[in-house]
Amino acid sequence: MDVLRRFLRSLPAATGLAIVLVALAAAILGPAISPHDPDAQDIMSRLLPPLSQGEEGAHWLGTDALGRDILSRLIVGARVSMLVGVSAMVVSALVGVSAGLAAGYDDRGVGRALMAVADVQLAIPFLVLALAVVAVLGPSLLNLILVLGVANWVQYARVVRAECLVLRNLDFVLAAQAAGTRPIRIVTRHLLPNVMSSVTVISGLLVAKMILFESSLSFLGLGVPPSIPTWGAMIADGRNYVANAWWVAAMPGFALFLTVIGINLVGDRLRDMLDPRLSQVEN
Amino acid sequence: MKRRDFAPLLGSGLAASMLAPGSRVAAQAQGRTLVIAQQNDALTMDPARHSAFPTANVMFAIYDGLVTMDEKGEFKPALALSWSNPDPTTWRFVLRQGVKFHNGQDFDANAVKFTFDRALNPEFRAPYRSRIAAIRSVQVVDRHTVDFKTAAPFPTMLFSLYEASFAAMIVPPGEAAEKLAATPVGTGPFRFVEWRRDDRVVLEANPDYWGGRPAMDRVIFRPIREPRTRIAELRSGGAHIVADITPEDMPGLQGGSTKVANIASEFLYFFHFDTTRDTPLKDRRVRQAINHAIDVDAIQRALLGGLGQRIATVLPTDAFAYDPAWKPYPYDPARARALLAEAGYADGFTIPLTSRRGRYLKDFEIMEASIGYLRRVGIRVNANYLEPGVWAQVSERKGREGLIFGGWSGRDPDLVWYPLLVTGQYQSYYSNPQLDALLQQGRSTIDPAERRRIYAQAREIIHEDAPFLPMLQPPLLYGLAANLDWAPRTDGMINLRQARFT
Amino acid sequence: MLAFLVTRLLHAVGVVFGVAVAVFFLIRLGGDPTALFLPPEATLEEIQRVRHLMGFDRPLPLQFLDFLGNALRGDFGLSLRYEQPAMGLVLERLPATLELSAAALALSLAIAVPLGILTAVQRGRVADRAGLLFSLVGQSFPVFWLAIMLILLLSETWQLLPPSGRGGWQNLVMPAMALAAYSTAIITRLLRSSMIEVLQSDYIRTARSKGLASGTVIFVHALRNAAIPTITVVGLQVGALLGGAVITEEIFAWPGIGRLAIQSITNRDFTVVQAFVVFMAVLIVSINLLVDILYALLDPRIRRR
Repeated sequence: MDVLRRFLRSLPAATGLAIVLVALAAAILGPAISPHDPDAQDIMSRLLPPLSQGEEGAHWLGTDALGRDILSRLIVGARVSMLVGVSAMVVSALVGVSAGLAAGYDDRGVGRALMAVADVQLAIPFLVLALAVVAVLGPSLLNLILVLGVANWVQYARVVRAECLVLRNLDFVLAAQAAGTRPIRIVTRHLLPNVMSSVTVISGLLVAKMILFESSLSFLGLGVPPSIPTWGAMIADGRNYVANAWWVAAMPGFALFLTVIGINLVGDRLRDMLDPRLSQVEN
Repeated sequence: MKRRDFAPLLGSGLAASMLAPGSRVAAQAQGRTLVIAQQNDALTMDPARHSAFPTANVMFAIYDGLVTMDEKGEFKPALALSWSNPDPTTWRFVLRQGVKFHNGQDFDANAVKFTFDRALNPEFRAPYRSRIAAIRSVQVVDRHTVDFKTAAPFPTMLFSLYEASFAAMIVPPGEAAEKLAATPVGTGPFRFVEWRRDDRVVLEANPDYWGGRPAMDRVIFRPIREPRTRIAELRSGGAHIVADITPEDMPGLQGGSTKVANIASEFLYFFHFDTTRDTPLKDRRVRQAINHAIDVDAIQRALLGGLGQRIATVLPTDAFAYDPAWKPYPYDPARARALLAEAGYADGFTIPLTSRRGRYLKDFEIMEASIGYLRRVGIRVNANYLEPGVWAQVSERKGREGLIFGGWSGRDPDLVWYPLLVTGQYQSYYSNPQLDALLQQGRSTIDPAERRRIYAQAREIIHEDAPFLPMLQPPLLYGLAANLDWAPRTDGMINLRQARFT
Repeated sequence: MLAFLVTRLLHAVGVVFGVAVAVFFLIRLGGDPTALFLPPEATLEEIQRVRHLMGFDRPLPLQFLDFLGNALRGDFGLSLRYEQPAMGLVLERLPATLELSAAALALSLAIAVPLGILTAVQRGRVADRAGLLFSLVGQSFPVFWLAIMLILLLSETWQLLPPSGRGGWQNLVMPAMALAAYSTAIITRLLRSSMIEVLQSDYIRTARSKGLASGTVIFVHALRNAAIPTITVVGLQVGALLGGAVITEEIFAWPGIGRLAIQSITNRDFTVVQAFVVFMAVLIVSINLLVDILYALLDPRIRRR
């Protein structure tokens, strides 16, 4: 509770948390709170502007090109977008941080092999990877998460490794080594905590980046199966109507935009709090 | 970097953007230059070595075929003045005289023979070879007469020889393929100037064109993938013909410095039912029910702004043998439910849909809307939108399942029904011996009256047995500069021979 | 230092080889492109005949050996679509992409470095909050959305800039802005957080307490150390800029490598994809090599192994 109180002391962080909680609530509750059936079409009432009155109640955020309720699709789409963003980030972070720590602590043997794989992977354009996966395994949510996760672990690995290379030579690590501390303990007790601030910063950015990536893939027609509403796909489809029905793309765009900002505000605050040196100064 | 270093940078950027408009206007002032923005760049400058319409549009400005098609869809003389059938397996063409290629070479019967011998050679790998493959040989009768020989009567020969049969554009004899692929030499209204791949193809007027000097001095084809960017080019005066706009863009483009041209294409939107697998679609009543369940007229009104052409069978309304008296199944969801119940599916069923998306105007929206209608009568659809490469692989192992939205075109029943319905054909997911026999007869005679009679019968069977849900000929929409006089064609080919600024 | 360079170089060669192997099989996982080259009405026999002529019916290991043998001699074959040398097609588009990426990177750094420093120094104050908001906005827009908005506003509505194509600097402004937005945000944020950490560290406090001018402390001591993680990310961003220009190039019809890449991938133009990926690998690996060397220069402890 004390942690929470400290967290909320910052107004931007509180705002960010509120935004993230709303997005999470939408993602979890999904269909239960959406005012309309997100798939129900009525092409006779397509492209209705926000606040329009439809046959089956108000469309607060308007309707899309097939007359589907945008608010309902946003709510259901939150689930997919958050799922893709968070899961892909977790996959990336788990793989990337482990690899980065290993490679940063011991840059011979395993560490070097890992970074070689990282370099190969990094040198293959993401789209080639994405297309191969989409083509072979077919477009599905799981494949998308895996491909995004796999495509981004290197970012963690490289930053973590770079920091470890510096940390490794600092007195407290050298002292621990001299005292005969086991490597795994050095890594988890001494290295890991010291890279957490970078990891947190990256993670915040990455969740957002994953959601953006998903929309880019949708833009190129390589995203999740088109029948699943995601914010990215909604923006991509809605861009054809920007000139005369701005809300179709703008509403999911705004949701995405807000969520990303919320995630980043929370990430920033967490970083400030996680790093004792920084919070000390702030108080 | 110090803080004061970046302020001037930002400043110059701002100042720069203020200066832009003047230079833009200056760039447009030179000569009568026509800029066409299409989705894709040309793939090659060899007319026979591609299968892509954007490439063909460039080629059609440089090359001619033996025959051409006018705006009404009628065949008209081009490099051939007239044609006749001395016997059912011979097409004789009398060639235009005094025509020269851009390099000064004379056009004659040898050029025709060279063109087709080249494209028909299997080693040459002309992608559109299938369209001319019925031609057994081309024989030079005299300098200005050629005979096309076929093994069996070939009623759709002219469709194989006009410009949309890409390999039929006449190339000069003796030119090496590599040279043609870089610097094309045709008989057409424009001469090749320069090709910067993915940027622009530049052509200039051929003052000696046999059809009269074109009104434009220069023609530039630019590939612009993103629809909004194409429209922005049109609005800012950077392009004069912009292909593939959407109905939603129309109101904004009508008036001021721009206008819109629209025509129903000969492309066909329809669902093709897989009747080869053991699914509810094997039952004719289910197929008829689906025909009743989807309100195609409403889809056309809502999604296409009422543009395009509703079809009563899978054939363009201006196709050979199309009878305007034909009617599609009316929208009648109650009847659809009754038919489903009769077939034993009162509670509906689930069926896959196999398609690609984003290839043609509003295809995705139309499929999704259709799925919405089917949901209302209890048919749940699992849409499977495949990436084009995967679609090709799936098709090759005959793996299209359930409702198939593949798209097709062709202005003769033999070009549409034969490949899509005859038992065992690569793209056919249907079998009906009676229909097979009729469609075989239809391609075995070149007598138009006889063929009309045959296809009227075939249409009866197709309508009754419902292997298709015929929907629409989607519109082709172009944004144009308001001062441009130019008309679109149903086959989507861009013909610049008559284009002029007013 | 020489030993360090040699090992890094060998490593780089190994990576490029690994990439070549990976891409050859990766791109073929989705099947061959024969049917894509033919019109829809092509018969099955026609497809099989053309497949044979193109050599795609040969065993994969044989095709791979061919590719490897030719690639080692610098021959990446003819593009299946364009029928021009594949590597030539890639190189032909290089200037356009380099121009765009360089402009975007310059724009990114020109904004991100001062902004990163400013926000770190002014931490918690108005300038910091404004800077953070700016970078938040920059990284929260999908590139294509930003690009389309730029076109709508600057080209369609105000008619200030040409919407597409490559030519004068006017054509460069919008694509560079769209491409730079994300990198700018990411570099700003990372530089800010690194700077803050460094500014709290003991040696900076010492430097300050010894009475060094704060400008010297910030620009000489702090920036140098904060640059280490930032350079990693800038290195990554260069790769991302070059490879990730796909969407920007597509929207602004910029005749660069990214456009060629997406087209050849969707068309399964194997030879071009291979040439493109190997070329990109060489480029990215070279940049990484450069980053490693920069590290070693900035932090001598790294090269002592």
